[in-house]
Amino acid sequence: MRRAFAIVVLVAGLMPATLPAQEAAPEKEAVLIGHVSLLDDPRYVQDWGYARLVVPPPIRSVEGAAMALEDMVFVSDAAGIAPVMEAREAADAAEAAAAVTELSAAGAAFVVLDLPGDMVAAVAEATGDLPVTLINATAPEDWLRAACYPSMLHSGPSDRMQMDSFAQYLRAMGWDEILILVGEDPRDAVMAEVLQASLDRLRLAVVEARPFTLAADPEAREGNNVRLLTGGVDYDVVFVADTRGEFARYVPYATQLPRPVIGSVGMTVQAWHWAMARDGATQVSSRFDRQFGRRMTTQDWAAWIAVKGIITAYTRAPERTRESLTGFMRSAAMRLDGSKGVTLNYRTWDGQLRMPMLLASSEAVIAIAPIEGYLHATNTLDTLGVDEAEFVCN
Amino acid sequence: MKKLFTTTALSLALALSPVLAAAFETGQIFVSTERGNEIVVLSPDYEIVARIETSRRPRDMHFNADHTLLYVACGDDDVIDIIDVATLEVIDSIPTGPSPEVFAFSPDETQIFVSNEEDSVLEFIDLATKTVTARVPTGAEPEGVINSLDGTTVFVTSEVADMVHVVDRATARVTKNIIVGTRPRRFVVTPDGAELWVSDELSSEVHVIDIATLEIKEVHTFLPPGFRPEDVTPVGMEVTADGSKMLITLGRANHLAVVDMADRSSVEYVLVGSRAWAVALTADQSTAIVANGLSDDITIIDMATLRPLQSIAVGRTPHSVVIDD
Repeated sequence: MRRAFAIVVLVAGLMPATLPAQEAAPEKEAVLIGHVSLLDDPRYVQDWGYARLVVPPPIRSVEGAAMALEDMVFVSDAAGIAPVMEAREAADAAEAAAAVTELSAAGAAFVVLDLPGDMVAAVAEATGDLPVTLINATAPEDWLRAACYPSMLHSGPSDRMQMDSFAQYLRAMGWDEILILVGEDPRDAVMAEVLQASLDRLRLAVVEARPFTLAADPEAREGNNVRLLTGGVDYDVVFVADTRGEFARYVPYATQLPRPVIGSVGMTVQAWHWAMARDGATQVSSRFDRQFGRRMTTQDWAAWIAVKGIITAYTRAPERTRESLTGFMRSAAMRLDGSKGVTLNYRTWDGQLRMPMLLASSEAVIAIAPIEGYLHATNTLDTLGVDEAEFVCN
Repeated sequence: MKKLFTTTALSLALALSPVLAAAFETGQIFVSTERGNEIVVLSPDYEIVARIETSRRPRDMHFNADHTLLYVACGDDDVIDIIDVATLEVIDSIPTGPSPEVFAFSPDETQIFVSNEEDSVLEFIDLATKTVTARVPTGAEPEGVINSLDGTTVFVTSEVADMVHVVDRATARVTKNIIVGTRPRRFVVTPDGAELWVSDELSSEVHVIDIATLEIKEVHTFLPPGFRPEDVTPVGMEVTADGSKMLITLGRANHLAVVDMADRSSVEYVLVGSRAWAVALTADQSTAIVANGLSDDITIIDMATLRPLQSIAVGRTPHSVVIDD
């Protein structure tokens, strides 16, 4: 499914006006960047609250990607390239793979994917022979990293990076007894499992992991009554693994013991947060808000940084072959500015973008991981996520 | 540029007249605090003597030539406030575009060039009429602004585009873009007018541009003992009046680098506070003062020994330091 993308047209239209006065502009190299997302992505449904309450903010990562193109106009111009983005929406994995194939045929060396994890894998399998690098912006699954697709990078954070951020914070706060509540969605179990690995690494104790259910019948009260769910044991903090969020939102202020609630509600871990007010983050957020009339999310940031990284590589890599560009992106030579205070680049072993993570409430960034004091032999950002020594390709 | 009062008659008059002296060479230190919405004024012996309430988020500051007025860019109210140095009160303000951060006066003090980081524009403001005479589009998040010594050229960084825009003052047009390191922040022009130094916060570099040719002639990197390259985030810079030393704050590496300009491979490091940003020198060059953005204090450094003497809490998020001497 092809979609005329208004923002891209607008960006292209603005280019001549914002270009600096210069001698006759030389011919620019066209650079096509693809963006493929899922039509009606279930992850981004907003009105999942009972009675169609709109709970989460809207997410359209393609707008983050579009802003990167505009942010980089001067850079692209100086580098003699003319980046254009073509955005496609696919109804399923087969359509997504077809879209990538068409974009590749049209000359795109990079396609940003905003798809659920299983579809990312399906697209990678179907297009593995094509000369195209896929940048997974929004699927957090660690098994996608461990699949070691040769032409894949990951610009959004992995589950493990998120859970390691929580673990560092809990250790630093001395909240070392954790009660985990796990939902019925398969992703909830993954979240709890990855958290367990992160807690193990920092020797934090899980008091108990208790399953919850949304069913309200009295027979299920051990699993649906928050006071019963959080009673009978002592703990420092409650971690709720609830991808959908419908149960999680009723847990804070309802626990048997007066303890903070984190995970899917309360304090969450994000790659981006609108309230981040350091390192130039406010300018990025306000540009986004001005352009799209909403707050920038983790997914918007991941698509933004993916495109920013592509254009940076075209500007600074030794050559403009795909091998040289991706080699540059996976090296310390790329010093990508994600407006989070440190430079970013992709890990050599799993193609994951290194980044600080934001531990945030609904209205403030409470802490930034790596938490001060967590050290690493080569790069403190590698305290978040599966490190090189423990990484195994499946 | 500041005029030097060298005549003995004037010095004598100043020494004899405390009232007049209040407006000239008081030795007072002015620190803008971004989250404190005030300019903190310290006496030459580092006592806080006044707190001047300004518009919101005061950042870059400059005196007029005779030091009777102090101008301060206030990012959250879109103005440059004007402070009477004698009375330490805000007496006027100049409207600017959104979020003014850093500015420079033209050498003839008729114009202000100010970067508006929210809408990516370098504004030319006529000082007499307080009106905008030109708006030069820049790459996203413009920051550092400075003139060439002859006043014909204005340089401005774009933090997102990783470049220095060279702007012709007469036509208000960009004549060249120079790609530098990642997130270029601030400038210094050497006293001979030959070199433009640019701090690149995120690539841990300082680029030196030859102003005559507009080509990059040197790239410097810094590494205080015990730090990693990625910890080094250079921002503020100041050069001694004789051009013999360049002072560069290293941000999260919590040090000031002092470069020997004769032998540029020779660098000394001075421990300062958390996220060292702005740096200023006293007129006699004996003392450097560094503003530490994350520890909310300033550090006083003895330039003869390159030792930190003391740190003084000033207020929330110190941004810039200027000295009336």
